[in-house]
Amino acid sequence: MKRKSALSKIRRYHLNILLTNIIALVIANTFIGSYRLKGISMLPLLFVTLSLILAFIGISLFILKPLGRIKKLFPGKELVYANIIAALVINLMMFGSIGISGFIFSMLFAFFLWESEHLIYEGAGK
Amino acid sequence: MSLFEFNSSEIPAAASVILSFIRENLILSAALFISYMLFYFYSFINNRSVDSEIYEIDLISSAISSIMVSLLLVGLDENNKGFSLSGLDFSSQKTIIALGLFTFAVLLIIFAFTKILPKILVIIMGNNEIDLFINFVAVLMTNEKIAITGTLLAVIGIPLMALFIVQRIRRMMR
Repeated sequence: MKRKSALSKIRRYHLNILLTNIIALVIANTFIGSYRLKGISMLPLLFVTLSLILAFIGISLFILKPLGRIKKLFPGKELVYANIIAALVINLMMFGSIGISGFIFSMLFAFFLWESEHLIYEGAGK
Repeated sequence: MSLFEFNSSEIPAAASVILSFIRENLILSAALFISYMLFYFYSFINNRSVDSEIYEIDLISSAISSIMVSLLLVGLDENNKGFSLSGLDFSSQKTIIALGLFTFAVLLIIFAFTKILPKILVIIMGNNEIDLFINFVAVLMTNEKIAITGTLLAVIGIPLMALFIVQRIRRMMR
């Protein structure tokens, strides 16, 4: 039996999540750069983003549990690694203009957007 | 020139604004365009699958990113350096666009859960081109030197609209 290569298993859903991650990183980095130039604090944004992540994952646990899909709280590990690596690479390259708080915010912001996209697909039974 | 004014003689200037933004933000622009190229390459090869995978859930994910972008825009406003609702300046272009985006996002969520939209509108409102348009205009707004005009929006939006139409025609001809 012929083994399926990893590439042949890629679906639009996987690319959507990866794309969401990249877009989120671009948005976060450009906004952070502008915020720092204007002297606006990132802390309120960090707090809001963290709260949204926790709220979204908490709600998703209630939705996924009765559906028996709680193991799918996160996407497959290859996709998670790809997203984390992409986020680390881009944010480290931009570290000079975003600083440590911007780095943390960008990682959280991107995680929130791509994870919420995954949970929406999972909750809808992709 | 306002958001709703279009002047064809301003097109080269608008294109030049976009190109200089891309040059100033080379890493981010490269990441963005490469990832979209991969996505469209996949869509081009797997032509048959794309339309059947645009559901109301795409509306929700577009809504979430629109809400986050509107939050970021509100915080960026000159007169509201932070996130105080009482400090919102409703005469500011950024605030107006942020509120418009927020309203759009709320509508998307309502439509996604009520499922009242016909399929064609779900495809139009949930497609990636609108998402890219909104996100790209939002990042342009972070630069104070860039004035968002109708001409600039057309220069960004018309190629994306053409891309959307070409994909739909390919799907119909299959």
